[in-house]
This record gives sequence, structure tokens and C-alpha cells, in this order.
Amino acid sequence: MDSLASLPWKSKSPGPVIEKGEKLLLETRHHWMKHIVPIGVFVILAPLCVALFPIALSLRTESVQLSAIIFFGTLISLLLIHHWFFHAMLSENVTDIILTNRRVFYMSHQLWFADTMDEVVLQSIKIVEAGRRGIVRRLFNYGELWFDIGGGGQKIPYVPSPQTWATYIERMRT
Amino acid sequence: MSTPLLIFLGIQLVSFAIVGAILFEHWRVCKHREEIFQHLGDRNRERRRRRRLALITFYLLTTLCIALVPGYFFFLSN
Repeated sequence: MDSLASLPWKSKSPGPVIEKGEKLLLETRHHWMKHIVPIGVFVILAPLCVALFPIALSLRTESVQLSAIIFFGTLISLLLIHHWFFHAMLSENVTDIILTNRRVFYMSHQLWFADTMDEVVLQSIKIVEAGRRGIVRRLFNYGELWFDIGGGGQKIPYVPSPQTWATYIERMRT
Repeated sequence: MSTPLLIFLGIQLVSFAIVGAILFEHWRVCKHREEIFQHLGDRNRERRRRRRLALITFYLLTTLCIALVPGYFFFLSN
């Protein structure tokens, strides 16, 4: 596998060298199912935190200290959930899976924490597999791509319509 | 200024600093990404830009709401 940048910190690499005549064929992000967990956590926990604010306000007349503790605890919890959720969403927003006439790029980011870019040259791919295992993946038409490049493999998860991608890749390899 | 108000303002300052840091890194990564797409001849720049703008606007508005609404009801309303 040709890996140009797998760094835990902010990458200062100039990015992939785009060859002459290399053109974009397909481009996508992760399937929306990847967002289910952060959205679910946000939808459940954020309203719970918001519901504690009226309790903190109602306790002001009885115990100012307890009211302040509940208020600030709730505020900090809500802000942590809020920033965690948008960090995840903004990170997913800049994750790309790109197919050109020469290579497959998989660029994934966790803002400030991880910055990885993997590329697989089409001519080095021996086998490409597209899998949609399970009823949920078949229902929502997403899965994973797996490349055998001789001596190793590269997997790209949460690919929308993986069969389409596999077909394109096979076509470009020949 | 009372101590709870100072603590509240301090928390909001840290919150907006986090927003700034996240958006700065997002902008840096997007700039790098758009250069790659430009070299590859991509035509979906406008769609990506609209999606990015919507997400950032939503993030800023919700952060502002969290900054203003609880503070108003706790410190200013009787």
C-alpha cells in the first residue's frame, strides 16, 4: 500500500502529486450511516442537558449554591457534547474517497487529531472486493471496498454503492 | 461582576476558542482538499461549498444559543 501521510498531528505535507492526464472519475464521502452514532448520542444527551436548566433555575430561591452547581455542570456537559458532535460532523465533511483514472484515494480526517491519506495505484490492485454484509447495509446500499495489492490489503469502510465503485475500478484496471 | 458570572463568561470564552480552533483546522483542511480537487478537474465545488457553509452556520448559531439563552435566564430573568 502506498501511504503518503499517516500522521497523528497536523500534516504539513503538500498532498498527493497529481500526474499529468489524471482525471477524477468518482468522488464521495462516507455513507450517512456512519453519522448515526454521533447523531444518536447528540439527540439523546443534548435534550437531557437542556432539561436540567429549568431545574437549576427553579432551585435558585431555595439553594443558590446547588442551583449554580447544577447550572454550570449542565452547561459544561452540554458544551462538551455540542463541540464533540460538531467536531465529528466537520471531520466527516472533509473525508473523501476519490477514484481517478490512475489511483484510488482515501482521505480521512479527525480535525486536530488525525490526518491520513492513503492511495492505491489501480495497476497494483490484484483483486477488488465490494461487500454489503448484513440486512442494514443491503437496505441502505453501503458497504466496504477491499483491495488486494499483493502482500497486503486496503479496506475503505462505509462506501455508498460499493458495487458501482468496484465496477469502475475493474474497468479502469483493464 | 459576581463570581458565577465570571465563571460563566470564562466557560463561554473557552467554548468560542474551541469553535475557533475547530473552524480554523476545518478551513485549512478544506483549502488543501480543494487544491487537490482543482487539479483533478472536479466540478462539484459549489455543492461542497454550500454543504460546508450550512454546517458551519448551524454550528455557530447553536454555539451562540448555548452562550446566550442559559445565561439570560440564569442571570437576567427573575
